[in-house]
Amino acid sequence: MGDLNELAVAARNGDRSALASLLGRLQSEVWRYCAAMVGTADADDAAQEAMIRVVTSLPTYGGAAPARVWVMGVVRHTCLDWLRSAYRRRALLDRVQRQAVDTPRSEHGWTETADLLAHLDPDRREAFVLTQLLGFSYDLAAETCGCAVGTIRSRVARARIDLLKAVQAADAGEVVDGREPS
Amino acid sequence: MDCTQWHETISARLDGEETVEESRALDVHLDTCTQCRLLLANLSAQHRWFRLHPAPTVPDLVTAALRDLADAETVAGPTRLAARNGRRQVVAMRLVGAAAAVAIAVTSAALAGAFRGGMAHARPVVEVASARAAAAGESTLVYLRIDNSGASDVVTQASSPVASNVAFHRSAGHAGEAVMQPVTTVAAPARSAGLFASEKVHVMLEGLRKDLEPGDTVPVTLTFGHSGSVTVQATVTA
Repeated sequence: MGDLNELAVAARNGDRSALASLLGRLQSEVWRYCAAMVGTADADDAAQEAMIRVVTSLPTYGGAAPARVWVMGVVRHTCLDWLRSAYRRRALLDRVQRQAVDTPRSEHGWTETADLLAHLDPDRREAFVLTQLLGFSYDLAAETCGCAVGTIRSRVARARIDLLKAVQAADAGEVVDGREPS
Repeated sequence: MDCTQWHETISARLDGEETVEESRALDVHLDTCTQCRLLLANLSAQHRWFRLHPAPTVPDLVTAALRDLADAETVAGPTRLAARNGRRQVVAMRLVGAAAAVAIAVTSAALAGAFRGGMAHARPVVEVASARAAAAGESTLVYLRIDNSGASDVVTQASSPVASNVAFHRSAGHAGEAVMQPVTTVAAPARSAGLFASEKVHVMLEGLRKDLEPGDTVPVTLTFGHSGSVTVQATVTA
């Protein structure tokens, strides 16, 4: 992924087309991360806010860390803030205001995944999303989350088993709601 | 017997993140533990399900972020990005529809749907495809799922402009072995679903001609003995 880093450095130095390529290359994983962490209903707004924050934070990118990890760190903080509800409330207001002209949200084919992941404890969900949906190595995921590799490893394993249980429970006809108590 | 201690190693194995020692110890354990073998099988199936999941249609996030930056510069003059630190502005704008900008993520499901829509008779349908990111010169796996609602067929060949060679591999079955054997053709029995997903058959792009980065799409053409060729866009998922 060497040239993502080069793009990020060029973008930081004012190259507008490098910035556009960088964001374009990463927007899919940014959206997927947001969808998993804040839910699909808010994913568009959270991901947009995250992208804007990536742009405003770019001057702090040193070029040493992998650009994917650095970007995901910014996105991660956006989602944490979102969950603390400051942005959410504002977005709700925005949505109410534009409701009259809003077209129906297009089907993004992600609802099933998001529903499944919603059963997971947030730490486990994050580790699972980074490593399984975005393809981060355990090392990169640990760097992104600021925790030990062993922590990622154990969260991923627990997430997998939780998901298996949720699916098996659903197959057995049990009502699965709420999250695993963490 | 409580096998909780093995769960982590089983999970790590699916991601290729276990150490050699752990791998050996796990194999010894799996030989004697039915429950852990079952767990490995279930988790492998789950792993594939997520790998094969279509990439979502993602709204354009770039245009608004760039516009936000341009707006800031109109106010502050064309300055370096740094001048904008601390500034907060939410762009309450969401672009609906793919026409709005460059569609980076193409869902393979949508492509498969479009493909299916144009068909007069039942043919094998490539439902989902994703490929792992890799550098030029390396090899990478393509995950596919083919549903064949028509008559019995066989996949005889695969090709891709980004690879110098494309091969089929079948992973030799049981737990602990990651042996992959090259195979020349892959059967697509009549009315079978989940081919490649369930058959442990992979498509391997060998000798990549360029780096595959997450978000890229690569065309992979599968040639069937009876149904002709199908080209699918595999989303690179890292």
